[in-house]
Amino acid sequence: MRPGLWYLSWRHLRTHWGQTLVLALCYAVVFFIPAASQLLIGRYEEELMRRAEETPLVAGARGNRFDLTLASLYFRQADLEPIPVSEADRLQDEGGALIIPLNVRHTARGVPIIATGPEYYDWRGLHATHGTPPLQLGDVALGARVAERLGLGVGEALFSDQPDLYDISKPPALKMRISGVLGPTGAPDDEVVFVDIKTAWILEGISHAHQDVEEVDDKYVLGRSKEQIVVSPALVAYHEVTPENVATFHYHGDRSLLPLTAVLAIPDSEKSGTILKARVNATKLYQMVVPARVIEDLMSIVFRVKTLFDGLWGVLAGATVAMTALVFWLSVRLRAGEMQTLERIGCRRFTVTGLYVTEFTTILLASALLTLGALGTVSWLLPQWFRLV
Amino acid sequence: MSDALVELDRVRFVYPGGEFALHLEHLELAAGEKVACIGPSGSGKTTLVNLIAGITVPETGRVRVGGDELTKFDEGCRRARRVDRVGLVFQQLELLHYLSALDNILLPFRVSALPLTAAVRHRAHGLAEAMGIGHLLARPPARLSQGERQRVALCRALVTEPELILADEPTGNLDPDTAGVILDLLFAQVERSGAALLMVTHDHAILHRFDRTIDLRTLLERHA
Repeated sequence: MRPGLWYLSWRHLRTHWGQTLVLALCYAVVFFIPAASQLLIGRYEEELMRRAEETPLVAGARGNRFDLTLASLYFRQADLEPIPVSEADRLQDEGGALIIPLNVRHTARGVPIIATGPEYYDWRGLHATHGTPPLQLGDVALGARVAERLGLGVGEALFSDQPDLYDISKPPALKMRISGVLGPTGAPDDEVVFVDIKTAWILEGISHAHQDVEEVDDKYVLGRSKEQIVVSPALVAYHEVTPENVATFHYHGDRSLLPLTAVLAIPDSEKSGTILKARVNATKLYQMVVPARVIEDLMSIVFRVKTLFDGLWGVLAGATVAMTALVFWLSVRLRAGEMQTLERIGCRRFTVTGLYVTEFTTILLASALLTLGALGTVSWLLPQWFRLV
Repeated sequence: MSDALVELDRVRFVYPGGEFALHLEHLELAAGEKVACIGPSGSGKTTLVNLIAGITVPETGRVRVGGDELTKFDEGCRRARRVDRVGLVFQQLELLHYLSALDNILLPFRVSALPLTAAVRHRAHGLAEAMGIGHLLARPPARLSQGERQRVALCRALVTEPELILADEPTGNLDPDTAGVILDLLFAQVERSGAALLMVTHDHAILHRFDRTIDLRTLLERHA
């Protein structure tokens, strides 16, 4: 292609910049939509699968396996039936797997509170860059991005979100001491705060502490016998765990029924995993799922939806091509005199055609650049706008 | 074989589906000769220009320009030859609106294999200066007067240093004063370059400035 043609094309497109811009934008949209959806879904799938493949087995109450997996791996809030701590104990007693309890039912300033045991940090490779993981009741460790976003550090306090402000039967907000800030991992662990599993039961309202009933004012005592003292609900429970009151936290009832959201199981071998899974699923009360398989099923649904969008994109692309054909047909008619001039001067027929081709190519190149720019921007901003998983 | 620059011999041309037919027994133009072509509207003046330029080819007969028989060339060769060796000026100026005056002058080099060198640019500037539009080269045609645009068109016809200039009523749309200036400039440049000139005109007052005048009423045999 002659350089002169590129020059003429450029001058013509520049003179008619509005038309050029509209066409380039139309094509950029046509290119961008499938590319962006592919990029997003690809990255979404990659990140989901990476996390899922790192987590061999998840046990929880029978119900929606997608909700169970999304809650226990990606900390999505879901209204899941709890699994009792006794089930986690039973799995632990069977051996052959590392068992990690999880409670994912509470938030602090909108951030999910993940209650778990100390083995979780070792298994996920989470290390505190400042302070320590939550070692004591009432301690909280912040995920890297949460610490950055909330501007909090070790020694400061974080209040849990009260489940219901106007229901005094619900536990009050708990003031938690920030014991550490975890290092960034690029995983959902950066977007949550961690507490000890027993702290979750305080948040549930199951575990609590209050003034020694032997020392409370008589006005709070509803009844007294040799075995027990019944106090009024008006006696406010402690809303902070301190060195002075930590020993007084307790729960009433059967410890084995304390609720968990899920139990992560990391079996020693494939065989151990298979046995564990079979035993849990045989209970009919609980289920044990392989997160990688669940995510594969989830992505197959996403891809079916994407196929629908691809069809809509086809319609959009067809409309754009038709519009371009119309624009070029009108352009050919409007520029008939100009093309006749070029032919009369002695310009070859190929050159006249080439002029249209170079203009179209230039528009496509411009739209491709716009698309690449937009994709680059989306790719760069996406993790900053919202977390994928 | 004649040593004429242009030679038409027993040429017959008919527009497809049209009633007009042009029969031309013989016509010659010598190198450097300035020839006016007159005749009433519809007598075939533009057709004659198109035949000599190789824009159209006759049904029968021979058209030789610069020793090449155009009727034996294919379309591509005739176009390549035209852009290189023939300068064309039309009544309708046919400047490209999205190019500056300078780019319009250089158009033959943009759309052909002719190399656009520094010497060519220098020549274009020189022609523009000689035509009095040297200071207007950056302007698009829309910001030029009719006379200035015609000067740009003349520069475009001359910038390739053609051996033959074909001008089809180049002053037809101009007022008499501007037309006179344009003609002066055209003649000056033609004489300087030594090119042959065939100019179609309706203006009998300027015929004395040409070496020869062809009157198509007497030269052609018209058939209805």
